[in-house]
Amino acid sequence: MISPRFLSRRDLFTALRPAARAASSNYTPTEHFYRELRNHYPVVSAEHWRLTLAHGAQVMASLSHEDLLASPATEMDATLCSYAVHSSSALISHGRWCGVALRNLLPERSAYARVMGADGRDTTLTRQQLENAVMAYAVNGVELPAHLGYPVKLIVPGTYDHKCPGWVTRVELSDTPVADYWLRQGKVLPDDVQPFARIEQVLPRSRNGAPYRLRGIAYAGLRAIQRVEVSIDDGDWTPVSLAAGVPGCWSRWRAEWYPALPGSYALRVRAIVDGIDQHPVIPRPFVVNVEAVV
Amino acid sequence: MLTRRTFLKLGGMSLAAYTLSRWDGWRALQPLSLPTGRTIGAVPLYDRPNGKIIGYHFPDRVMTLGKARGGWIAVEDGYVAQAAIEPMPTWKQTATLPARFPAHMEVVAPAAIVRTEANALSPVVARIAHTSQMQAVDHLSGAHGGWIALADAHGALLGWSQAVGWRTLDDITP
Repeated sequence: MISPRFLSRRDLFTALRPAARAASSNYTPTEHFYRELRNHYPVVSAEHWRLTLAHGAQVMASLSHEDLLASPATEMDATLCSYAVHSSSALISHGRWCGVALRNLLPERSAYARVMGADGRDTTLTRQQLENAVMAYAVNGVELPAHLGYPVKLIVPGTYDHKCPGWVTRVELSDTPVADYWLRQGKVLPDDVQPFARIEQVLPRSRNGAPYRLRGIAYAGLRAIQRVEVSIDDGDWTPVSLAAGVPGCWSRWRAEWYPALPGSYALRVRAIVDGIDQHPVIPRPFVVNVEAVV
Repeated sequence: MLTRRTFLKLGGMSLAAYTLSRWDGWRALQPLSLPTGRTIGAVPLYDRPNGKIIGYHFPDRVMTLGKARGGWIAVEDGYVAQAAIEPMPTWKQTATLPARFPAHMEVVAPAAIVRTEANALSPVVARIAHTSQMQAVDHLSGAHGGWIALADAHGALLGWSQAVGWRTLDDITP
């Protein structure tokens, strides 16, 4: 039923494309979606796939793919990113996910839920995370691709991708937390997204006297970003125009910049949440070379 | 076929164009350049005096200044506090380097950034305001006039700045 499939070089290249490709739309095109680089991922047949719901060892229900599709569907915008997004440029995507709210699938409640995937990875959700989680079977209006976790990927808004296993086969309720895959590997990874902002594009001026247009994203998980600020050559942090944010989704920001003279500039951006800059790492500057100022 | 009438028309127009192009009176007919200024720090932009903030201008943005009234000054896209703007002349955005170093130089750009190395990615040592003067001790050629090495009052190397924002002050060159 489950067989490994190797990624081609093209797949690897696709995975490294920056989210800026989707700058024209708020959604990242599915083919450019961020994915974890791994040597292989499971290919699961929907015909034979079953989702087992259990409380400990006791199985409460077993759903087929058709059962899942027949359940009341919900749609949700959510941003998916790796915990390494703060030091790498491409590990974030935003999509519209369609699936079934996990809380609606479970016949009873529990303090924790362990969600397991066919790739051997699992995660443990708290009750609050479980309330917001969606078992997604489609993204951006198309069936979930195999490399993103077909037939079902768990989406937990405001968390990193390692809390959102794909190829989900079993949900197990428990009263105590269980060490998840990454903890068993000896890695302690954060659950909630640390706020950050990024410059994605610097569009050159369209005519003499026009400004350079700065574009980027900011994301703080379920927390609200108060403002995004840009600094040019370590000058004063200047607030920029920020689109209204939705919890669990990235926000786009924009600014217009009139460089005073030709030369090289180092641009930095930061997101302010709860009154302070909470970037876990100092972002590398975005270098812009201005050829001429007219 | 070129008729006599057409020939005279074309000849007259050519003569008039040549004469007008050499007439210095055109300069007098051009409007005076509008006053300009630079923003001091990140400057809030208001929709009207004492109105609401509609955005911010980056530091050292050079902009055309309109009428000033009651502590506010009109700019291209709104109003800013007059205290946040420093008037400055327009300048030619080309480097004017001295014939030899060391030399005294002046910041003609809205501000000059001094870095530890002649590289836009190197750390910023200082930000020097418009019209400030410093001693330049060396020059590295490159795009936009290259980079100049600046020294402090004791002659020790302070850092490097892009030459395009500076002009030489030959009259006080030591």
